[in-house]
Amino acid sequence: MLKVMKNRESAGFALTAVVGVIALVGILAVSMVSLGNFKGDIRSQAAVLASTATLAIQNSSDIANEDGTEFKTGGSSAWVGTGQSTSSSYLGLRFQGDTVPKGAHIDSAKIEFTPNSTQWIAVKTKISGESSVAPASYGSSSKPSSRGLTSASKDISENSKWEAGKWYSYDVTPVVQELVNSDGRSVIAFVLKGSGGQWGRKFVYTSGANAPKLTISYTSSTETTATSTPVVTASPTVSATPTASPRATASPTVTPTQNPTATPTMTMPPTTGGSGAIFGIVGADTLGACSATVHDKYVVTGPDGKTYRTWHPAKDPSGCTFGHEHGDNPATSNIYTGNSVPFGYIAAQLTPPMDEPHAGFKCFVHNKGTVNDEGRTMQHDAYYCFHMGTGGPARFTARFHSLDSHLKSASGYVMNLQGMADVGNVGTLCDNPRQARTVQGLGCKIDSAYEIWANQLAIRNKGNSVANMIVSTAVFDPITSMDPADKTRIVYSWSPEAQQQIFRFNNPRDNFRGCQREAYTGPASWYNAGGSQVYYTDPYGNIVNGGVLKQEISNINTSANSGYLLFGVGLRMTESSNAQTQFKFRRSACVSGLGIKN
Amino acid sequence: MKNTAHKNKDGNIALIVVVVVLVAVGIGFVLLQSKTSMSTQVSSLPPIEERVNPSPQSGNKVYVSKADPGTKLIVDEAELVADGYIYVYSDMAGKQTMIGKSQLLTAGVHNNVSITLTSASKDGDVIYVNLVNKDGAKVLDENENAIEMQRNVGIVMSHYENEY
Repeated sequence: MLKVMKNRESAGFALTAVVGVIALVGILAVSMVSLGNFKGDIRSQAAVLASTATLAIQNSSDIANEDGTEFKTGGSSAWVGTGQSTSSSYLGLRFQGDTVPKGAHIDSAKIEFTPNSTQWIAVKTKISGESSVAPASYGSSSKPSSRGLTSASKDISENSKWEAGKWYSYDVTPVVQELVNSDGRSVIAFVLKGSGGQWGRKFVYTSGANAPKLTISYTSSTETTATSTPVVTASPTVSATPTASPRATASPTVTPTQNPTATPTMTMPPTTGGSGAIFGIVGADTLGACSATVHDKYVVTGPDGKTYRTWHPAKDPSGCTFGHEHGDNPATSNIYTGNSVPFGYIAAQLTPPMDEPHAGFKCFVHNKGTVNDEGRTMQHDAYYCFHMGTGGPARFTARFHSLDSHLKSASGYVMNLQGMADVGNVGTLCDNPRQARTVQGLGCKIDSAYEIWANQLAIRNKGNSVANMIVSTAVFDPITSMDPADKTRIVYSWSPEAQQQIFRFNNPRDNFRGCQREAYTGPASWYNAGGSQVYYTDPYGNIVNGGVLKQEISNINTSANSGYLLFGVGLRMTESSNAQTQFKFRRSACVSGLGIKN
Repeated sequence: MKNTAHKNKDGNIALIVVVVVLVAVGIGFVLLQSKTSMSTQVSSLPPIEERVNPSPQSGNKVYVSKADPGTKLIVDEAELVADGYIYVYSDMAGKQTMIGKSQLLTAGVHNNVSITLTSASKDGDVIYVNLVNKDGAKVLDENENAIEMQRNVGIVMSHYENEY
């Protein structure tokens, strides 16, 4: 009996073990099938790099002392510690140079000084970082004491002899760590507030080879991408720039090349994807607080069967906020049919393929019945995604930008176009004649930062017009401004030169993120009576057999939209009592956490 | 002995319950991960041989497949209802300036027409190719739009690649 019982026990345990193994195998099998498309994190492919970044004081306005009401920049020397005022003594230091990528682990960071004479006095000071991602130089209206500070700080209390010609350092590791946690940095500023006794200060050199410097040792990870794009480099540092404007170079961790003349290699470069390649590189400096894994969720299969990125909210449901946004959600359009817009698909059809920077894709939804700030009402349904980010200067020289546009008139006629829209030449408000794109630029004094593009996509059949769509897109807070003398140079809208050479009023503009936008839908014209409702074109809208882009155009002329015509020929976008061939609508896409590559 | 057997039976049941729970959790995890992958698909393109377009209704046509930098432009196809020319314009600061003109073409179809440009086009330029009648006026289609092709010279777009 006991033996029988024991046998039954054994059988029971064995059965349970078998069931458990089968269950585990089943889970594994289901996981492998269901997660086949999961764009997982490829951290296992990351390489860890140890690097050193050196930043220096480059201009006289990058170092300043405050002592009560007294203020001074430049000069042959500055002081660290406490002056006459024991409550309002400051040293401001603004360093520029090598870029430290966002998220880098700071092994050590130190500010180094060279005294202009041998000195021995007790110095107490509290060192905080300036939290702005693009700290400005110092001036009487922008003193060190007025700057926003980091939470992290370092208290210094020392009573040592500083000998002339030698270097002495203060550790600021936790401060720099906090700064790079939020953003990649090539400009880092500190505020040193005196906290010691009156006149407890040391004098240091301010310029040239003896100017204070910031030395940062850090480690960062890089991710491997397509074999055709070099990513892992031995020393991913960027040369220090001699200009005052911060030069926001692409992150060395994901940029395929820094040389724009390099052989194009954009054949489906994977970015942060795991098992599949996603077209469209996304740098760490645009991810914001979200991980690449989170960002990689937002993909769509394009008409060519390849994977492209698509619209996503600025704030992911998981709670993190991206460093960029894409404006209106196309799915909120009355005419959205469930097909996500594949960002980058259009430009990927160029020969060679072009990868428009991901953050620049902006979408606009103008539903019928929407009333704008002028009291005009949209009569039709339209939505479009257009590439127009203001985070860099490339837009000043790129003549064509991708446009994915959808329009359905109140009469039921459609015009679904995709192609490289002609944005015209670029100029400032001061140019005569005005250009199709009007941007803010050095040398043209204006009252506002408004930038507007007139973007046209024409579908032509061997030169004969079939359809024409114009959407004008505008931004009130462009991140960068244009240098007409060098359109490839980065000039931030809050930089001193922009403040001096563009704006009549020196308002703070370091919060500019290119997210305050408006767009004009129209004019739109059909020239397709008796034609086909589907055409295939090249990327520029020229109808050609075997074309890579599909256009859907009702086979009508514009005049078929009876009841919605202006002067009998143009599609009226607004109500007849307030008739225009364009409908303008302004909407902010701004959220806290947007970066300067938006 | 009965108690021992009973306890063993209870133990087996407990183990089975644990396994079932683990399986349920595992399936739930997998389903959750599947939902967070938001890949959708847009309509796919038909095979290239099926991407055939109708010819324009107008008897006037002009087509240029590409424009290379330099002083020569090849017009792949031009068809004119009446004798005329092909003019090439450059887009200089938004103002079209004629930089090339074909020889007089008779009515009909012409292929691979070579046009010498008076000023060399360079990478990034935008040119416009128009049909023009004998007296110099642009040929219009039935909608009174000029018969015109626009081309971006060279491959300048590549320099914009991922630079922001």
